[in-house]
Amino acid sequence: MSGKPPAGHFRLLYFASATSYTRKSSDDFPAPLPITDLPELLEKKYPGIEKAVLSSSAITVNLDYVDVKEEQQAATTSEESKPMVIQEGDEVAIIPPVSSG
Amino acid sequence: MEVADLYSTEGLLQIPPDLPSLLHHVSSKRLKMDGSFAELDNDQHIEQVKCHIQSIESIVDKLKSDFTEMEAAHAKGPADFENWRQQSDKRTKEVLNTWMKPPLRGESPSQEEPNQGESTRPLSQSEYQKYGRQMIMPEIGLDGQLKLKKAKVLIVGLGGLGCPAAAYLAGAGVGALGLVDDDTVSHSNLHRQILYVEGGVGLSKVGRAIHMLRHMNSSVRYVGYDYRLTPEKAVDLFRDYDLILDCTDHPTSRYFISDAAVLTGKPLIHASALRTEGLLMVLNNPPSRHGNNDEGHCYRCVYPKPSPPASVVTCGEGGVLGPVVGVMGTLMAMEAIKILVPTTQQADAQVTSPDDHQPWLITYSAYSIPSFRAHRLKGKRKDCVACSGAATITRESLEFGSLDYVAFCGGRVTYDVLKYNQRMSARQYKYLFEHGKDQHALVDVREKVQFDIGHIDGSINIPFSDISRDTDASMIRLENILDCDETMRPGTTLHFICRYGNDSQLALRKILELPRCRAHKDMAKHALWHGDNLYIIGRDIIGGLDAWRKEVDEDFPDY
Repeated sequence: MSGKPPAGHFRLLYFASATSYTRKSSDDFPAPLPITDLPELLEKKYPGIEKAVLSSSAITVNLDYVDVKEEQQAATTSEESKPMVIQEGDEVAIIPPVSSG
Repeated sequence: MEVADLYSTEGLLQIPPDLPSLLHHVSSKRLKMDGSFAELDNDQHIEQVKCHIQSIESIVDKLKSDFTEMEAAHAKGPADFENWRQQSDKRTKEVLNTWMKPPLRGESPSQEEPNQGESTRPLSQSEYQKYGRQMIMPEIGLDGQLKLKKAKVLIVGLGGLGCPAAAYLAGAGVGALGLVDDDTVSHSNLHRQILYVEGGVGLSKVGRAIHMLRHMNSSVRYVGYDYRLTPEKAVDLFRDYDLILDCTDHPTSRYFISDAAVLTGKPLIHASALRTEGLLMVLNNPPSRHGNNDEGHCYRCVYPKPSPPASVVTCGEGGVLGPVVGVMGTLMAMEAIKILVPTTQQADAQVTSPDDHQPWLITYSAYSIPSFRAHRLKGKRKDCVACSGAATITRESLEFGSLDYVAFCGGRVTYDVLKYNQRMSARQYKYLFEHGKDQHALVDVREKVQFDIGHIDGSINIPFSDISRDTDASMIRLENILDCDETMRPGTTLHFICRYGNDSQLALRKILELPRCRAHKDMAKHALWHGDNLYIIGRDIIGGLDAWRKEVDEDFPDY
């Protein structure tokens, strides 16, 4: 996959064990999407991915680290604080820890 | 004379008068870094003698080239000869100074002696020659070179990351390079671990690395630690160094090295690589004094939770391309130079690093465009258990082993998931293959790329990744293959094999968990039912194809 995601979509890049799990280097999903909904969306498409990959991964949106757990907590504890929303054309990366060397 | 007497404290062979016969005797043992000897087996003994021959040949070569210089100087006249002799003495003194220095322990950087009184210049002539090309870079300069010369860098792990990192830091002229690894060189290392040669297979990585690095730059002091680093030892060891490079290959060491770096206040360069991808971060920079949130974050701030053990693979299992891990190790050396010689302090630096210490994580994907991405990190977690004001990890918890890193990382993965009567040895399978009465099929659960490298004739490839994703669908695929084969009848027994005998057990267990896999009333065995047809679940082969090669077919590819 190359170039930009199609209109109304964002691109999700997979790295290391996320690539092995999905057998893809990326996917395009409809935008906008609150980042807190990303785990559920992926779990539906790739059953088991949340426990095996997402729970320990770093996630970045347009190269900025986003703590999805923190966003989830903030969304549940306060009505006003809205979670971050992934926009059309955004690039989201899933970066699991790699320990080999 | 005791064998140990032949070696200096640095592990160097002192050349005695009757060298060849003694060498043979010495070579049946290997000097370990703690001063004791390990017995070598016959192959290792032969390799070690080969290595000794190579070392001595390189000494002879050097002697010959020195002699050519000497003769040329002599031919020119007495003044030139005297000049040559002085140069030669100076070089000898430099080499001896490097090798005869006291151990690192207890030495503070202020005790470093830049010159020996003869010259007022801060570097020797050979150092100006060796480092000239990097010293004329304004980012380094003479001042930066002197900083490098004072620096003590510890490299933990001498694999695909540690080898290039060590080579470039040795070349750059750091003062001391500490090298930690308990492993020996194997053939499967050579495509990426660039400090080793075929003749070194079976020998200590630390020993072979130091041997090679001395040939690259004899001015650096090399200190070998021929053991596996543990949380108990890490804090004590890190204190002796200015900077730590984590070149290890396991989640537990990734966590305790980060914790020990925080506790000792040392910056840490962290990299890893697997298959076609790599990852790089600079951690604890500037070093943390507990509780100050402005300082460098640690590994736990980025990855508070380790991967579940089943998704952890080491290079041996997962494979890796040499240049991928090489590029990551090389980047580590560059980050080390940037930390040791901050460009903000170099007056003429044309390229300066940002002052704000924006933390980042670099990912490298060899087959993607762009290959490199720099992700901005958030820095310290307010509740980090290692480096925040709320930290609970202490020096004591590491030194007395009260922190169980293995348990934190999900425990030891034990692969003995099947009962004894569900397994058989490779030899037993061979017997069954030749003399068995029951019809059987062998299912090879390795990935296709490995199956294509070599497989047992007639075996069927159903990759474990397919089985773990959808066991039922992959079994239907297998049944379809068997149904098309006229020699296979329902009632056939299915046996399972993989590379080392781990995945095949997991695959078999997954199949046994299928609802349509039920006990067969006549045979006390499980069978996979498909309508009225059934396939009997046989056994997994202990040790996989690795055992098959060792016990049955030595020609099977040892990849």
